[in-house]
Amino acid sequence: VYCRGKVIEWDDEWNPLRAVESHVDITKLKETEEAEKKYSEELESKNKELEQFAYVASHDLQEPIRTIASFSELLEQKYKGKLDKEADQYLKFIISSTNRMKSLVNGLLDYSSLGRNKEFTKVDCSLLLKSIQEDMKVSITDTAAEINVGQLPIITGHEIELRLLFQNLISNALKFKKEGIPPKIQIIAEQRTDDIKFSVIDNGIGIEQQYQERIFAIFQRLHSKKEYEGTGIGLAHCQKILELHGGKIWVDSKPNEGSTFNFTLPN
Amino acid sequence: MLKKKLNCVLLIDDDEATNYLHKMIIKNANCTEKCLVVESGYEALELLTSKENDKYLQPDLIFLDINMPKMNGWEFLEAYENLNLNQRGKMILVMLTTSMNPDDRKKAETIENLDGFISKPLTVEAINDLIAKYLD
Repeated sequence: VYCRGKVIEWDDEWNPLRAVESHVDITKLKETEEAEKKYSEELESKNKELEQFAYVASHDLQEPIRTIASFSELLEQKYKGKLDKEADQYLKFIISSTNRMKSLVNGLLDYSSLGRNKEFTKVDCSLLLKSIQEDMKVSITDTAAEINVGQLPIITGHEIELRLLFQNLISNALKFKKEGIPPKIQIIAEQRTDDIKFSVIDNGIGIEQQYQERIFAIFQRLHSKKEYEGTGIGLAHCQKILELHGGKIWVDSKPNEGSTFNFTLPN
Repeated sequence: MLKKKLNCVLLIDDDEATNYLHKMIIKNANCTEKCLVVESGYEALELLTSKENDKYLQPDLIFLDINMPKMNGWEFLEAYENLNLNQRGKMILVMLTTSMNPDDRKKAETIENLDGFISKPLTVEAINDLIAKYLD
C-alpha cells in the first residue's frame, strides 16, 4: 500500500488539527514490477544459454566434424580407385557432406556471435569498399566482374559487421550471375531525410517476386547445391546486421533483369 | 511370404547423397519395379502431370522431403492437392524428415493427402511396414 498524508489545518499554536491522507493499493503495480523483473531475468538466462550454444557449436561440434573430414580425406588419398566404384562414391558423399556441415556450423556460429560486440565507430564506407574489393580480388578477377562504387558516406556502425554485409551482397552478385555474362555491380548511397539508403545493383539472374522475402530467412535457398553452392545463411546475416544497426534491408528484382539489394542505416 | 511388387516409387529430395542411399534401400527392400528420383517439388509436379505412352505416371508410393530450395515439401503438398485425381499418386504419400520437429509432425497430421511421416534415413523395415499397412 502506498500512503501519503498532508496536514491541512492547524490551531493557533501550529498543532495539526486536520489532515488528508491517501492510501493507494499498489498490488497490481508491484506485481507488474515483479513480473518484469522475472521476465528480464529469464531473458538473461536465455541469452546465456544461447551463448553457451555458440560455444558448444564452436568447440564440441567442430572437433568431431574435423576428425571425420580428415580421416575421410585420408581414406580417399590412400584408397581412391583401389576399392570399387561404389566405395569411391560413398567417400565422395562423406567428404562433401562433411564439408557442408563444416560450413553450416561455421555460419551458425558467426550468426550467433553477431552483435556481441556493440561498440560502434566511424566507418568510412569508401575505404571499406576498397579493402573489401582487395580481399575479394580473386573472385572478382575470376568472374571478370566490373564493380563501380559511387560516392559513399562516413557512417557510424560496427565495422566488421558492415564489412560482412557488403561482402555478402557482393559475393551474391558475383555468384548469381547470368551464364556467359560477366557481373556488373554498382554500389551507391543516397542521403535521405531520416536515413542513408545504400543500393547494391547487379545484372544477375534476378529473383521472382514470391521469394523476395523468404531469401532473408536463415538456411533458405532457392537453388539446388548443384546449381549454386552455399549454405543459405548470407542474407540472414545481412538482415541481422541491419537489425543491430537499426536499419532495414530489402530487394527489388525481376527474374532475368538483375537484383537491387537496398538497405538503410539511420543518420 | 510372397510380396506383391509395386509398380513405381517416386523419391523427391534435393540431396544427392540421400537419394543415392534411399534408392539403394528401396532396391534392397525389393518392393518395386522401378524407382524414380527427382530433386525438387517442381520436377515432381512436372513428372506427375506429363503423360508417357498416354498415361500418367501415378506412382504407388511417394517419399517427400520437407526442406528443399524454392518449393519445399509443404508447398509441394499444396500444389499436389490441386492436381487432378488421375495425376496424383495412386496410393500413398509419405513425408520424410531429418528433424523430428513436433511442429512439423502436428502440421503433417492435418494434411489429408499425407499418409505418413517418418524420419530419415528410410529403412527396409519402414518400407515394409508402409506396404503392409496401406498396400497389401
